[in-house]
Amino acid sequence: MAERPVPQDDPVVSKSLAPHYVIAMVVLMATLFWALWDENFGQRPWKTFQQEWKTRYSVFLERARSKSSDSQKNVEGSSEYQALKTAYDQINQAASPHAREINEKLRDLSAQILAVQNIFTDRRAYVSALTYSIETETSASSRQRQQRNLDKYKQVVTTVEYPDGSRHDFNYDQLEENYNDLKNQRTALGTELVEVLKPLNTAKEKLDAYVSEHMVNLTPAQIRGLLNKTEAWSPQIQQINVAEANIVDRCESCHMGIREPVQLTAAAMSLRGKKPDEYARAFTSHPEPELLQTHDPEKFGCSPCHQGNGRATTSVEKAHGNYEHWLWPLFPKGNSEAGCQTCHAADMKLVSGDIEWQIINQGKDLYRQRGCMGCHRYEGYDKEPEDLLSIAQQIKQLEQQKKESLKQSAELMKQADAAASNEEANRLNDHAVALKVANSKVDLRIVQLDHASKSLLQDMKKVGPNLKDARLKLNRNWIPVWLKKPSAFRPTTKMPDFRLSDDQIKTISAFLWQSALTDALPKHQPGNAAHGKDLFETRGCLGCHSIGEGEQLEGAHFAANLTRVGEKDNYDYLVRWVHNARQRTRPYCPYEKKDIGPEDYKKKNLPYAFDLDHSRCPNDGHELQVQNMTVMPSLRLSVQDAEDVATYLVSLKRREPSEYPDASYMDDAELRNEGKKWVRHFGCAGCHEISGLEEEGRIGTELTVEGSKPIERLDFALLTEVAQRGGHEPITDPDDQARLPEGPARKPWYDHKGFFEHKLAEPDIWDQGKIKPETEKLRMPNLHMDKDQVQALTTFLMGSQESGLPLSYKYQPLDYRRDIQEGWWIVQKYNCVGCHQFTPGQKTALMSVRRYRDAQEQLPPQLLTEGARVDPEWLLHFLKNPALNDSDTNRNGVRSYLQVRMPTFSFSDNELGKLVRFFQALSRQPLPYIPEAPPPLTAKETEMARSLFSSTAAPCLKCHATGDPAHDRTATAPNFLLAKQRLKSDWMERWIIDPQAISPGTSMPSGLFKRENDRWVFSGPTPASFQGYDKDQSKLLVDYILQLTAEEQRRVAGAMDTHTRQVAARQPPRRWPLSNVNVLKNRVSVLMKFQTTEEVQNNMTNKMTKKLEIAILGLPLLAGVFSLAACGKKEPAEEQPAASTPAATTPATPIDPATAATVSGTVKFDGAAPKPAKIDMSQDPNCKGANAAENLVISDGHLANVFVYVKEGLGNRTFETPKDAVTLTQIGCKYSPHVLGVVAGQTVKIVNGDPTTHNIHPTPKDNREWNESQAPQAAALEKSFAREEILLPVKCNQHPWMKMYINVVKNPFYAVSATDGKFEIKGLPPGDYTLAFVHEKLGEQDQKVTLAAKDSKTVDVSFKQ
Amino acid sequence: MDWRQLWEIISAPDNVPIVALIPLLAFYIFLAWRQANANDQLIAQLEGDAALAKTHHRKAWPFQPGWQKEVHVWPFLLRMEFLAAIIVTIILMVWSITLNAPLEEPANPNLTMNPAKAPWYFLGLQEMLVYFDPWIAGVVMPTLIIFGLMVIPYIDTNPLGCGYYTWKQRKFAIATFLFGFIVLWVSMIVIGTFIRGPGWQWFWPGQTWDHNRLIYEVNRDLPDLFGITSNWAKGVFGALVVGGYYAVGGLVVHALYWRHNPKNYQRKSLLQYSLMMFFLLTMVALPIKILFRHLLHVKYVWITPWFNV
Repeated sequence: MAERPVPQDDPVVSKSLAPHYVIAMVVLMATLFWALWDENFGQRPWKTFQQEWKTRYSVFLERARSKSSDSQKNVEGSSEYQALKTAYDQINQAASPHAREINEKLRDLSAQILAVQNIFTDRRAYVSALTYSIETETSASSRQRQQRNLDKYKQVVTTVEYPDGSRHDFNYDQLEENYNDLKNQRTALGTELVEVLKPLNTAKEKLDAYVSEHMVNLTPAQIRGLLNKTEAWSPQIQQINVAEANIVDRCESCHMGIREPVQLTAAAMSLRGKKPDEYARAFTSHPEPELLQTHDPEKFGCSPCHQGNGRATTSVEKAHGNYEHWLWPLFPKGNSEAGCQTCHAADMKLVSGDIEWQIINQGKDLYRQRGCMGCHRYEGYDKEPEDLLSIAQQIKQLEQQKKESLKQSAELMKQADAAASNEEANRLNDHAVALKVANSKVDLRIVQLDHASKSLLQDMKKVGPNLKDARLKLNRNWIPVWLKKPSAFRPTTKMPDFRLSDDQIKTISAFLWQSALTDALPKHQPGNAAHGKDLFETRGCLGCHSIGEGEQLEGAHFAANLTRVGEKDNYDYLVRWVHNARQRTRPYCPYEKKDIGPEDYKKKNLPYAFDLDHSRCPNDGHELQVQNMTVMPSLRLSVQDAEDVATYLVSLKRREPSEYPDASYMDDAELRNEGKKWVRHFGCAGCHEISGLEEEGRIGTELTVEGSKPIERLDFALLTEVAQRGGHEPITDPDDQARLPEGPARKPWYDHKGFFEHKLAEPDIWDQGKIKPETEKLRMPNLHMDKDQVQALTTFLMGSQESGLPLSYKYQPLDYRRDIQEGWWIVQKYNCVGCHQFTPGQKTALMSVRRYRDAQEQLPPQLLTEGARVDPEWLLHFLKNPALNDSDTNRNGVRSYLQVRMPTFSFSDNELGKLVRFFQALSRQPLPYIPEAPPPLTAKETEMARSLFSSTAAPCLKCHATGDPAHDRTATAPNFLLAKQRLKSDWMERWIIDPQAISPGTSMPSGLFKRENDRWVFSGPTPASFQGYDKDQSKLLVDYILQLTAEEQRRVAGAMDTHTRQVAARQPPRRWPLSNVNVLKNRVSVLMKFQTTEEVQNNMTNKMTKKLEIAILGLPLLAGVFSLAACGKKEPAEEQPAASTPAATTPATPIDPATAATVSGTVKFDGAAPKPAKIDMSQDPNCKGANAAENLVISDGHLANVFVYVKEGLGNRTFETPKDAVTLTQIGCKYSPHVLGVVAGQTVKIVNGDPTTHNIHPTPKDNREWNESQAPQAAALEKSFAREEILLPVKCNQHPWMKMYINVVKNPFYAVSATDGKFEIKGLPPGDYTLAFVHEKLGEQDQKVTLAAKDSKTVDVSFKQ
Repeated sequence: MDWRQLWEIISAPDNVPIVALIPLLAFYIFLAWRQANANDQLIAQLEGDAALAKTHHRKAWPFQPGWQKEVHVWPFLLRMEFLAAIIVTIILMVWSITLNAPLEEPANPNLTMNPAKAPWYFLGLQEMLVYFDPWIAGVVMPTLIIFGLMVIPYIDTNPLGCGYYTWKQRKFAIATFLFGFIVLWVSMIVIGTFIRGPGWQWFWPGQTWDHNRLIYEVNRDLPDLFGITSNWAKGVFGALVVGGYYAVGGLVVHALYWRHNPKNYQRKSLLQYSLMMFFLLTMVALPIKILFRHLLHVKYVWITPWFNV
């Protein structure tokens, strides 16, 4: 090839490929670098996250550090810290010379040791090696030779040069001795040093502990630690690995802030001046740190609760599991509580600490309340029928076993008679006897099972009413109208819409009508509807039922809305229902599967009587269902009251029952079978008791693990593509569309959430476009739920999963927590939460009822610490019979003064036990409870305790009932005589010291006792006999109360009343608000049935007048208090503008005093001034103030007590909280001033200028509520209100007429109109403002005003009645 | 038309090779055709010039005077091959960076995917399962394919066309290859990927892969069409039909081969010729069966207790 010249134009030979190669290589290298980049960053996006985290978190910490050191300075400024610091310094000074000395010695010693050590260890190694050779040498001679070598070596002398330059010669043994000696010296010195430094370290620990205890945030030192950690951070995967549960979660590789000890919000982690971005949202700390306390991330990881792909690190989508092939994507934000359900499916209510998990709890509750469980089985819900079935089977088996045993034993005895030998006969006889004994054991077991089945029958409830009673209860013509669309008749009903055709409605209603019982009900005369209405509203019906429609709707949705009951219900039935809803027309025998009638009883010559005590079947002796399967309890109303209530309810209607179109076809027997088919088809028996369908199974699919069903198994039918693509919402009905929690679908919704939400919003959605015969159409009815309910149920279903976690991760506690778990099922089942508060902040249905808005003390008691409060034995007794009385049951057993009635639920033994254990467990009380007898009191102690008990500073019997009907009419607390049986003494002691802490908002005041010299001492004045008594006075009072006898109580009460009775006749009759009169009237009418209404009224007012008291103590009023009260009103308004400076956080232009303007004016009242109402102060003889009411103070057409403030116009200016306190005085049993303005956070000083105990009780909406008693001459209370609130009412629990309003505002520009109607606001910067004028009775008026610099404008307003 | 569905299939990372296969196949056939055409013209020219034909080994058209008659492998071939290797490396690297392995969720024995598809290179075999019983489609046919490919060098008696592109000298071989590769292999892969949806039903491109789709289709066995009921008779009938196919088909192919390819015919021994016939007829049988199925709804032709054809 080389010889011949190559022609230039041969392309293969002559063309150079260099450019191709260059380009290819460049591209290859670029690809290589791309691959490297991808490997390092593209596939590891968390690295970028972590870099970003480092910068943002450092910035955040720097900011936090400066704030923290400010607050540390504050802490360090306190005298306690200074004392600790001085102590520390002193110890430091004392200890440091000695410590320094020891340290020097140690240093020298260490250097010496080092010098010896080098040589010694080297020689020791040689010795050890030689020793080893000797040990392993086989011949004796060589061993000896080696030994000689060793001895020789040990004698060799080496020189050690010490650090100070001196030299010493040692042989091996000396060297060893010297070395050990030095080391011992060092150890001794070390111990000494520790001893010397010990007090110093203790002092230092105390000092540090003080700082960290008193800092709200982290201390600067802690923050510095975090900063160092953050700065030293190098990107790495953060992984939680729990091998046993197969959890590998790397979520924290991006979510770096989740477990940081500071609270990080998205705003705090944003770049300065920017909106929170993806990073900021990822870096927030966990919103519920206390959840992490109970679910340690090191054990639980993240994905068991949140789901998502914990292992993925390559992209956000992957990690959150938001891709097709990850089956458990992150729960969306609105459904995040689904994670709770995966392990807490056995809980009815999830409460962590005292915080409820609303969404999942609502879901759990809805599943039962809406009757989902009637069609769909779910583990744990409605277990009774299944248990009952299994018990029935067990009984059958045992009976069979018994029969066989009997037969066998007879056989054995026969064999024994014929036995060849005596031994054989004895053996056979023994066997026969053993069988008989075994049989008696079987008998016992059967009795037990029967007992259990009684409980189960009692516990078994249906969501809907018993349709066997349809004929007795319902207006026949109403039934088809109802079935057509129940929600049209009653929008809040639980009965869903079944989309029935007219034919179906006809046949179904015919079947129901014809299958119902035809027994006759006793006839009742119409009662008094007005009285019935009153009973209905006061007895607590609204805790479960609602009434009214639209705006007027009031009450709870647990049970039916009764607004149109009159159109459908039969009066006689309603009377029976109200009197005792559980009363059944005929008992049902689950063994014979039929309703037992009088004929069955007659056959056995038994009276036709059945109730919980007569629940055996006359035919077979087994348990009967003797109750209606409803949770509706008996309110223990008399028959007459029941008639009144029923009369009232029947009067509620929009149209007359007779106006309904005739539906006589319901008697057509031909429709019956067709109707039964449809009733069965739609699973009506899931929620209702229907004759002939008692044993019907559930028609729906089981939902226990519905959330982990593969998506392919959820039938989206023809909408699969639509769901996968999104963008078009198949639900077109606007009502149904409104049920979708996130509105019409925009994004693809082919997932569990999408399926459940759409199914719940429009249950027949998957039939869209399908051609199906009527029987194959989707049966699920429309539950007409709202968005939130759909969201809650969706969350519930999404969390219903078969989790891959080990069983130990499921919440299946065995200790007290199990009792809590079981208890919530019952509490929710009977809607105890409709009336009682179980967790702080839980709203009961009654709270929102108008009647109770201003009468919180009329609400049923809070049960926050019920378990700690009451004796479990007593509780059991009480729950069985809340009247605590067998003969007089038309009353409350404990709080007889409450209108609202604790009903009798007829709990089964099973439920009673669970409930009592629940309350005990909720308060962590050990079971069993053995009450301790109170120590007997000496005569002197009794005397002392009595003086406390009847003290005017804490007149216990003023509020607590005594059993004397005259007194109890005004009582607002239980009788002390119950305490012995009912209460636990340690709880009582804590209660009288601080009731507000146990039951916030209670009328029982706090502050009755104060801490003095490590014991509790009465806050009010005490007689001389208390001198030298060194035990807890609160304990003394409790012991006294526990030993209180009825006689003693009467004596004390009598002594307290003596004075009042004398003047009673002279006082005018006390005027009661009308509603109260009604309330009292009712109660009295209950007590005295024979009187007419007028008689009752007269009687009552007479008795009331006896209660009136006159003033007996006239302490001179403190002049100083007067002066304080007089100037307290204006003081803040004048001084604050000067003090106000813009706060550091949001800078605002400072107000220039030179340009400040003033607004002033007069508040007028249009029209004739009504006469001021008179207040009756006779209740407390110490009250001698003017008795004109202050709610409308008008003089010469000028209105006082109008609060004027700048509502708008100050922009985002912030103002410093004024340092000076405003004063609120109680003088003449009135609050002075009547209207008070205060800046949020400013101190309010509350002074008692009266010779009587006051009880200050603000009832705010947006601030913290408190309630404290203030004895005469007690120190002033200092309080503040953190949040803005206009017209915050303050009352006094001692003196019901005392009322005033505090107005908490954000800026210092406010005033209160004086008696001449004048007001003035000074120091306003120029601008446009809205002034608000607020009056407690006459409402609010707004006025706009524009102020120029140094302006002085007048704004007049006038109010009208 | 549901183009989005089509796009979803085309854009799936699993289907990149198949989507790429279609244009690449077209391109390379075009390239080969162009080369072959050039060579065929050169061959024609060389055949007219006996002297040149003796010495000329390089196939390039139009051949320029002065060009080398031979070029060495090194460096002229290897430098091209190395360049190609680099480019392929680049493509593979970019591909592996941009598209991750299409992993799916953990297998669930209670829930099989639908459609459950084999890896793309086996889709042809899977498609064959539609037309034959598993024994034939899954065992016999693949074995025959392998044997058929192994046997090619031994029955290819054509000495021409080695080492260069040509059409005229190897018409039969190239046509058979294109038939086997494109019609039988590639097209079945394409059908398996783009056409076969849920339930292995036939969805035309642009038709939504609807899981709820219901179609009515009854496939009958050929003997049933002729009213044969006895099992024995069915077996005999099927054997006759299949045997008849081979006999008649063999005669037709023989006639064509003998007429259009006499030289090669003469070069072949009887064994070589009959092997070629057998494999060729078996190959052709496949599309015939496919047509039988789709047009006449014939399930099987030959039914025996051991296998169905």
